[in-house]
Amino acid sequence: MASHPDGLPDPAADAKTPTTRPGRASPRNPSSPDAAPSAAPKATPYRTLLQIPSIPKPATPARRASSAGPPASHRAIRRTPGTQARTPSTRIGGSARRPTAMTPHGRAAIREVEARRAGFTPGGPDRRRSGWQQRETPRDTLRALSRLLAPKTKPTVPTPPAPVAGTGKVTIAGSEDFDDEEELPRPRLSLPLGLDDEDDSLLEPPRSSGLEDENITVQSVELARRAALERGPGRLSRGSFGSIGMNDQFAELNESGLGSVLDSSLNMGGPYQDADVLDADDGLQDDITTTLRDADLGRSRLSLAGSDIRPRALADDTEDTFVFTIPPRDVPDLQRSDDAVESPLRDSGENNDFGEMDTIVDDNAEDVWDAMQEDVDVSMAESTVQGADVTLANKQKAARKKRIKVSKHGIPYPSLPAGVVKKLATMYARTSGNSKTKISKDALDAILQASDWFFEQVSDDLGAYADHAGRKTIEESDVITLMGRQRQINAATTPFSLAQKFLPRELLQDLRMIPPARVKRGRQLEQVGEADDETE
Amino acid sequence: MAGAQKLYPRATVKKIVKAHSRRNVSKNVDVLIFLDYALFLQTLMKEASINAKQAGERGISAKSVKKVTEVSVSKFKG
Repeated sequence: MASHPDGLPDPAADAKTPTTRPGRASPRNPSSPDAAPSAAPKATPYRTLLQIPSIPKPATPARRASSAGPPASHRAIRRTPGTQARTPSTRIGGSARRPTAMTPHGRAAIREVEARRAGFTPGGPDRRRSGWQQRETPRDTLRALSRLLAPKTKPTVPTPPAPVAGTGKVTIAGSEDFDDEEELPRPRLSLPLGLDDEDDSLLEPPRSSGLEDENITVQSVELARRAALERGPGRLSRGSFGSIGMNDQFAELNESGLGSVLDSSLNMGGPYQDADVLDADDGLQDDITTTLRDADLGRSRLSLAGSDIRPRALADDTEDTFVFTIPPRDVPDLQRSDDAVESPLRDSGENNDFGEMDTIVDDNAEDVWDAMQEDVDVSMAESTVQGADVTLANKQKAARKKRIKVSKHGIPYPSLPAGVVKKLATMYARTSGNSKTKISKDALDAILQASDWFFEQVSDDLGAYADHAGRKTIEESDVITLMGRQRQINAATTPFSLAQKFLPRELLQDLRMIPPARVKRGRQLEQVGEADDETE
Repeated sequence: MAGAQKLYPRATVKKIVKAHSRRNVSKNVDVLIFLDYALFLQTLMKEASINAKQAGERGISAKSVKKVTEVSVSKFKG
């Protein structure tokens, strides 16, 4: 028992004779020889009893637990660990000897030993477990079994007689061993050298052949982009602005800064790049681009105007080449409406025209291009300066113009009037953001496009729901379902609460007419009925 | 809100939906669809203004609208 306030006895002596420690004042052995002289004069049992409360350490279990280490450490250092295990009673009093390990090294040693005892070090438990495993491994049992069986077993004799192998070896060794040895090194030497080259050469052909199968060089570049964007615009029909072709996305990505350019790329870029695709093999197209580029460079090429003008110039080219089919004045208009109408006929027509142009005009191409370059020069001379303004004006005109779009079912449809959309958009922008937001023309165009997408998607979904319900008509329940799936409606927000927020009163009245018919129809509309009650 | 004389042309909405879905549209559905559209537009403008603010623009540019268009539309996928 090291529990004792007065002395710092020698740990060795303590470990050896735990029961005869001098400071021991516990009631257990009051009659110890050391304790007797110290407490001798008044060694009455009463005295010793009185001393007990002044000895806090053995009494507090926490101390005991925390101090379980120190004596063990000393003992472990000086003695064998066996003694420590054998004499658990000595461990209890270790707290008193704490002060002996006051140096940092001593404390560290104590900590380490405590941790080791607690089983944190990998040594102790693992050692034990590994020993246990070694004792128990099936291998040992197998070895025991083998020892048992060894005297009885005889070596197995292979069924095919050994001499056959020997003769084979002999015959082979005679003639072919040298050949084998000669062959082996050769591939080793040659293969590593050849492998690299062959690998490179092997990798390339598939790539190029894949492109050639497609016969469209540009597509290989566009495919990944399309796959990434297919989620949104993929399911939309060609009437919407994202789906005309990946060219648009390309333009959008590249000309991120130029909001107005996107429309121009829609109008002009589409056919232009189609033509590019078609004529990729011919040098003619290269001529076009190179001449135009030269022209651009000559004109010191405003970046904005340049991108706008090139397609324009091409439109002029097409004028010249197929005057007989299309009156020249109409070409820009048609192309602009192309973006809206997007009839495949139109595209194919143009493609055909380009094909004709290739075949027919091929010989005269240079003359034509020269002549046209003059035209281009003239037009550029005007347009480079005011290029942006001109295209902007055109675009605004186009936007103003009532566009007729055709859905994927071939039904023409109008779009929401821009004024309405602008009003709403401004309102929502103001409620969401800063209070004096103004929406530019370009932004409004983008919003209109987004609206078209939205209506297209929503209509598709509604049609699908009606179809699923076996109806030919889209009904309110479909829209309710849709809004529920869009997470616009839930238990807290009914369509009517939304309508009250978003719609004017006269439209609300129209909505109020609905519920009676709905309540009959299905449970989904119960909440709607409640909402209606609330509203009324 | 927006208590102007006419919030939107009802016939137009109806025509749009009709053309896209090739189905008839029952009587007052267009109101609900327009309600949905209003929600969409609100989302779009909110996203766009956030985007514009992040890009440090004043007002809302076409670029920011285009950037958020796809996200917003796909949010309203039924």
